[in-house]
Parts: sequence; structure tokens; C-alpha cells
Amino acid sequence: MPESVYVVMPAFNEDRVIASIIHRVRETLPDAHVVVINDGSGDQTASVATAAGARVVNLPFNCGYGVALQTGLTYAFRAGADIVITMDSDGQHDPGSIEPLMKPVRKGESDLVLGSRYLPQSVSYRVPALRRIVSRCLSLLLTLITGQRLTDTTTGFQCMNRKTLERFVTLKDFPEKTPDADLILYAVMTGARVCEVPVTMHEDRGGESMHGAFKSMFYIPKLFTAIVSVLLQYSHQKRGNV
Amino acid sequence: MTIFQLGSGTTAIGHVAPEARVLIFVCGLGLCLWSLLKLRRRSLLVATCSLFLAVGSAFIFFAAFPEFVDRLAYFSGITYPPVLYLIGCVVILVLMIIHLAFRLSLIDERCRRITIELALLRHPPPDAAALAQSEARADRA
Repeated sequence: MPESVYVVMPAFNEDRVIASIIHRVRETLPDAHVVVINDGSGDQTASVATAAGARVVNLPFNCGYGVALQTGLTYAFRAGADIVITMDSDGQHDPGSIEPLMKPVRKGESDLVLGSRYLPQSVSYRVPALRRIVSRCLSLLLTLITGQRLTDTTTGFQCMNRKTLERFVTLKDFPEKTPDADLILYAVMTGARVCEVPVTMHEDRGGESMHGAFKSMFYIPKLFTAIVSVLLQYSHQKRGNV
Repeated sequence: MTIFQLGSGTTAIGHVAPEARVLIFVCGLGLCLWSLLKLRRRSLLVATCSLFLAVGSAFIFFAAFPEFVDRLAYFSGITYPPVLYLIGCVVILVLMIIHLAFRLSLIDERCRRITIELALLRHPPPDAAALAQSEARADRA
């Protein structure tokens, strides 16, 4: 039985670039199902994505990146997906990197693969200094907690198998705004094998950011609290796994 | 002259002037009536209404027996009774904020779940059989 691959793309006001991204994904993975979660966009994102051949799930209003992602993962899970790739719809994540991202999952070596922009072989745009520092600090923190070297814990470019997908879908308090380092930590804490592969990332070419400038101010304290929350809730499971 | 000045100066410590007592009584009664009116129109939850009723009743009680709080303050070692009111207000407000934050978190979580389910009901995944299969797998696990 062939494996069922789903590409989940949360989108918010991305009608200028989403069609080209979907076409490139479909060129790379002709048999994959592309699911766009339209997070209450005010533009033509839904119709453009549908015309490009994606399945579109419309959220009734703008709910945030985390809710859009969880909707997409739930959709894929209920559709019986074996492998799920999550990527941004703003053109930042290069569809050409999907194959290397899937490789460890297909081989059964890993349950969750992170596309890193900070590995030596990665091809990345020039990440702004502040963002790079924050990302490095988070990666260092997670490396210390998990004991596994992680370089890019804020990446949304990920690939997971069904087991990890189920873990995320059944997670009651799925991070609403910051499904980044805390979600990776949750995966590790619940026994998932996580690895990183170098990927190509471009500068955001899309419209409005799903995170927003003002909300970004609260990103670090929120994420830090979320990490503490995961640690408090799942540290006993980690001990059980080890 | 403010409500606080009414009871001070020439009067004894702890004494609340009749004007202030009337004002506090009217405020308490108003809060109770407003809560009951909202409850009747079903525009206020029973739990929230009971909180406002309790606060309104406390106002009325204080207007009727102002010396009670004074005695309580002296009994607690607080020499200046209005401080007890201040502490009481701060504690109640903090408790209210904690309660509302808890309720908000709960409602937010439920709203998120409903939104996801609504979106997936409107755009169901293509393979219902796969859904049944995956749920059966999850049940077995």
C-alpha cells in the first residue's frame, strides 16, 4: 500500500505567492496531498490555493498560526496520513528541500525531522541579528534540556510520521501562538526521535506575517512559559522513556 | 468634601458619617438590583451575578454596621481601619482576576477546539474510512 503524504500549509493573506508554492510542492511530490489552512485571510488565498490544486480548509476567523497548524494536522490525521510535512505558505521554505526532509522518516530513523537553516550545509537568507540570537539561545536551551544537539528550534519546516502526528493531534493544550520549541520539546519528552537536516530557506516573500510585529514582543516570555509548562507536564514521561 | 473626609476630622476614629453610609447603602443596593435585573434578562451568568450580589450585600452590611469592620481591623492588629478595606479590595480583585483568567483559558481552549471541528466539518477529510481506521487504531493503542 503506497504511503499517504500530506503537506500542511497554514496561510494568512498569501494570495500573491501561494499558487507558485503549491505548484512547486506538487512538482516535487506529485502524489502528495497539499492542504492549505486558510486562517481567516481577507484576500483571495482560498480561491487561489483551490485553483492551484490544493485542498483548502477555511477557519471561520483568524485564529493564529498554532490553531491553523493543529487544524491541518488534525485534517491529515483523520485522512489517514502516514507522513506529514508542515511548511509556511509565504515562500520561505523551499519545496526542493522536502525530499531530504522526508528521508529519515521514510527510512524509519526518525519520528520528527526539523529543517534547519543553521546547519553548515543549509542555504539560508540572512536572518536578522536579533532573531538569530533568540533562535540560538532557544536551541541552546533545548539542547541542554534534551541532551540532543538542535540548531533551529523555531523552524516550521518539519516532517513527521503518523506516530508523531497522533501525538500532536491528541495534545490537549497545543500551543496556540508559539508551536515552536515547546512542541519539539514535547515530542522529545514523549519519546519521539528527533533529528535535523539542512534545508534551503528564503526570505519571506509573502504578505502579512502570521506572528505580527507587536505580538513578537511577547514571543520570548510566552515561549519560555510554554517550555516550562512542557517540562512540568512531561518530565516524568521523559524519565520513563529513558 | 469627599466621602472620606465626611467621617474624619471632628468625628471619632472609625466613625462613618450618615451621608457616607447612605451613599454606600445606595451603591450596594444599586449593584444588587442591577445584578438581579441582568440575571432576569439572562445577560449575566449566575456565577458572575452571585459575585456582584455578594459585593453589593457587603456594601449594604458595611453601611448598616460600619463599626464591625473597625473592630475587625483592630482585632487583626490594623490600627488604621481603612487599610483593611484596601487590603480586602486588593485581595478580592486579585482573586477575581485569577478566576477570570482561569475561565478565559478554559473558554479559549474550548473555542479553539470548536473552531477546528467546525472548519473540519465544513471541509471534511476525503477518506472517511481512513478516519474510522485511524480512530480504531487510536482506540486500540
